[in-house]
Amino acid sequence: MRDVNLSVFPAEIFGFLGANGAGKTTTIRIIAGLIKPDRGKVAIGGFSLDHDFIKAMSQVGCIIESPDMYKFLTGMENLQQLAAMSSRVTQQRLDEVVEMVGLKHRINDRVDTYSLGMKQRLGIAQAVMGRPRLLILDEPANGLDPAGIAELRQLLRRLAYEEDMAVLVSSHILAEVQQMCDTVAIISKGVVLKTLKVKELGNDVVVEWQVDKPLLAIELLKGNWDIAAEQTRKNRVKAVIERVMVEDINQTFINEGLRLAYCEAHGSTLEDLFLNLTGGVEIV
Amino acid sequence: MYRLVQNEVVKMLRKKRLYIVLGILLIMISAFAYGQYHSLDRTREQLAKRIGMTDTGDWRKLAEQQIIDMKNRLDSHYMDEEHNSTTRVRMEQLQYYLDNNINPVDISGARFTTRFIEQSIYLFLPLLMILLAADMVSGELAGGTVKLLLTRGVPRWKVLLSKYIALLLLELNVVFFTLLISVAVSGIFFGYGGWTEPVATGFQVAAGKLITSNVVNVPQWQYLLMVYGLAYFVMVVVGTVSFMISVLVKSTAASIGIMLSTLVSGTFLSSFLADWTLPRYLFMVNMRLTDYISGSLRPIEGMNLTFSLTVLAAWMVAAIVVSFWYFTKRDILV
Amino acid sequence: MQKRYSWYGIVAIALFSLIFTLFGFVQTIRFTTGSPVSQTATAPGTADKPVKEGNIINVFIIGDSIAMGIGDEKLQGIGGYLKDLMKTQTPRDIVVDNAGIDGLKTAELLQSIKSGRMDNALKSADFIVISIGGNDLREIQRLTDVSREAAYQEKKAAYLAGLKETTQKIRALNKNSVLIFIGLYDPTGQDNANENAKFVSEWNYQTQLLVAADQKAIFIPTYDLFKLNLDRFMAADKLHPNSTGYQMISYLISKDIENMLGQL
Repeated sequence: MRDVNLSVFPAEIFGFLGANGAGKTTTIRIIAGLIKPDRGKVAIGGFSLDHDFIKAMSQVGCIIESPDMYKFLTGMENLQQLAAMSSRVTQQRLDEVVEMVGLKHRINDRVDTYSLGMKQRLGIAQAVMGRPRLLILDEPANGLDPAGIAELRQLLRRLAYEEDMAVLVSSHILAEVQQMCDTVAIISKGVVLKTLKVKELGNDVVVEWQVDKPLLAIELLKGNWDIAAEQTRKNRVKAVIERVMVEDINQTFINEGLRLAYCEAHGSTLEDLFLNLTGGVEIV
Repeated sequence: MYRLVQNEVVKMLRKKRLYIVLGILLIMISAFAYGQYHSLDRTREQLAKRIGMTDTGDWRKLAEQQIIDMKNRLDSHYMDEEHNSTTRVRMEQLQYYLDNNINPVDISGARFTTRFIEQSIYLFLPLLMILLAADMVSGELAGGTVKLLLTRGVPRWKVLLSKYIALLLLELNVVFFTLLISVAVSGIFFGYGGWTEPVATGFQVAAGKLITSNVVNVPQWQYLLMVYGLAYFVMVVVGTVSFMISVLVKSTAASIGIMLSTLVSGTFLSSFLADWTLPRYLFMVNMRLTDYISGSLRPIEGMNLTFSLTVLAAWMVAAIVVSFWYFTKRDILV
Repeated sequence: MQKRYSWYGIVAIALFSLIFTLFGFVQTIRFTTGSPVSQTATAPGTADKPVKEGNIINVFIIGDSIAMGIGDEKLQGIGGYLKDLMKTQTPRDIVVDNAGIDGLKTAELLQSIKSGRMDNALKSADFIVISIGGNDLREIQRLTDVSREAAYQEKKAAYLAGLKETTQKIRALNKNSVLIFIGLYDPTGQDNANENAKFVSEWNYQTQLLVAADQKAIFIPTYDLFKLNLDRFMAADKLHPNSTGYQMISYLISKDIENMLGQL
């Protein structure tokens, strides 16, 4: 892990996207104080993890890697155990979060009878019950059915926008992050490659031209708009540009005497971006 | 902190660990009592065969004779004082048996309860402690639940301390139930009496010799408390070492395995103690504390109750230091 | 709610246990590490020793429990009865000193003689009664039949060597005293009768041979005396003689030394 510099703000859902083994969980463990970094600092709500561990961690609710719970206790007993570790959570609040995650009917059953989705819900319940300022969810959609994922999405939005939580969600599923998050950080091999707002994503398109003089096209793009383009096949040039510029560029190409045979624009999705950035690392 | 300890105790109870331990105790004590009961029958038979003691009253004659002989012995000025104090103590005991009409061969519930601890202090009770302690931390590591505990705004040392206190509480419960079960079960076989029966204690070891000049009789109940006090000490030490192992390794099976082999190696190393001084600094060869107070040990130069208690205490302190140091430093990767 | 109850139960039991185990622990420390009680009794060997005076006959009894008088409900032992019997034979005062220790074996007797603690008593004794060997022989009783014979031979050889050295040591201190060896009897009755009889008789015979080598030593046979009279002569422990048994042994001794007594 190096050069990881992340800021998560209240009322924001922050997505942390990376392939398996890219360093998502390690980063999250460092934020949650489970691993001590060799260098660098973590501050939560203004409190440094090194110096004010208790104050910092009191503002965090998290699920890390998997929603592990005591299997020999019931769901409610699990929550009571964890509630006993902070002074803020009342039984009333517990009932409230159980209702919120939709576990009301099964909360008095032992956890070893739960499905993965139910464990995930219980995990979310324990993470949010203390009304944390920072909610960290590692792969929260694991084990949830599509309806469950939709519910989770709504829940997270409510927590972030109504209760002003900062929500940090890690995932390796692109679509999920794109739908759920406001901001995305893309991580690969321990390095954060890019941080961007999801709503800005649609503005860029990937355009591919088929021209007779690809080198000239690249030169023109570089010279006129400072756009880095690349030659993909014999007569093809590809670049990421803002959607509104496509017409200008085509006009310029023709003016400069290029024979433009073909022009194709893909709406740039997170997937394109991700593949572009990580050089096509295997992703599920 | 109070609620943290409560949490840990509830977890132990719900894991059924305590109940398993108590169940094993019940079975073992019943088996031991049954065995004692039968070997008692055989002892009686053998005695009857050897000295013709058939009538139940015959032991009185024998005891009376022995008391007379011992008086005789005390009068001889060729006996050293050391011999005399054991003789005197033995006389008091016989006199008690005569006064209360108890056949000294018989076992009372109280005597059985003491004997059970004496037999189990170096292996059986420590094994139960391992069952209790071995997965206290490693279980949380293996189940991943340690993440829940350490991301709560509670410092790590407090989490570990609450676990340790819970362990001490449960160990005290095991001591209590050992006493309760063995009194209750042995009472069925041997009756519920014998609490005031005199027991010799006060043996000392110096320069590799058993010194009996301080030997006195104490009532059985007091001796019982002494034995249980020592047993609890041993249990705490084994529990603490086991707790440390459970902090150091991730798997409960490995943790139990390490402790088991350590204990077994203790019984094996004990046989070298007289000639080889190194093993005496290991905790597992110093657990037969009750042998020191009952005077039934093979005296070994340089080993006495104080020595063993010191070795055990040193191990306990070391185990606590290592546990807390490692637990507060380690990275949690599960 | 059930959880609350069990929690309070656990804590209550723990507190209770803590109190009683702590109490026991403190008691243990108190009993076991206290400094040894100062002994008021006089050290062995320094007690007022019978000193040889013209008008006194000293009898010194050494050896095992039979020397000590174990089993005698009247607390007299050989010393007591022998003294009474000798009084009828001589006008002089009889002083009996008993150094018997129950369970003593031949090697231990030899050791205590070598230690010099009994030197004074041995030097001044006119008669030295020795009862030893019974505990050596008794050790082989626990063995199985196969190893018994070999163990017996070994024990016997060790016993005879020990007895010989004991006699020599005593003679080095006191040339004139009369040594009186008490023979062994068989306390077991019918059990293994043949084998035991052989063992004990052989043992006694060898002892007798050794005794015969000393001019002023005699052997008191007890085997036949007890053989048919076990019920009458044995104490409740079925191992030691009772009062009657001790009287019989003392009687045999007194008869054997009657003549000798007159010459002193």
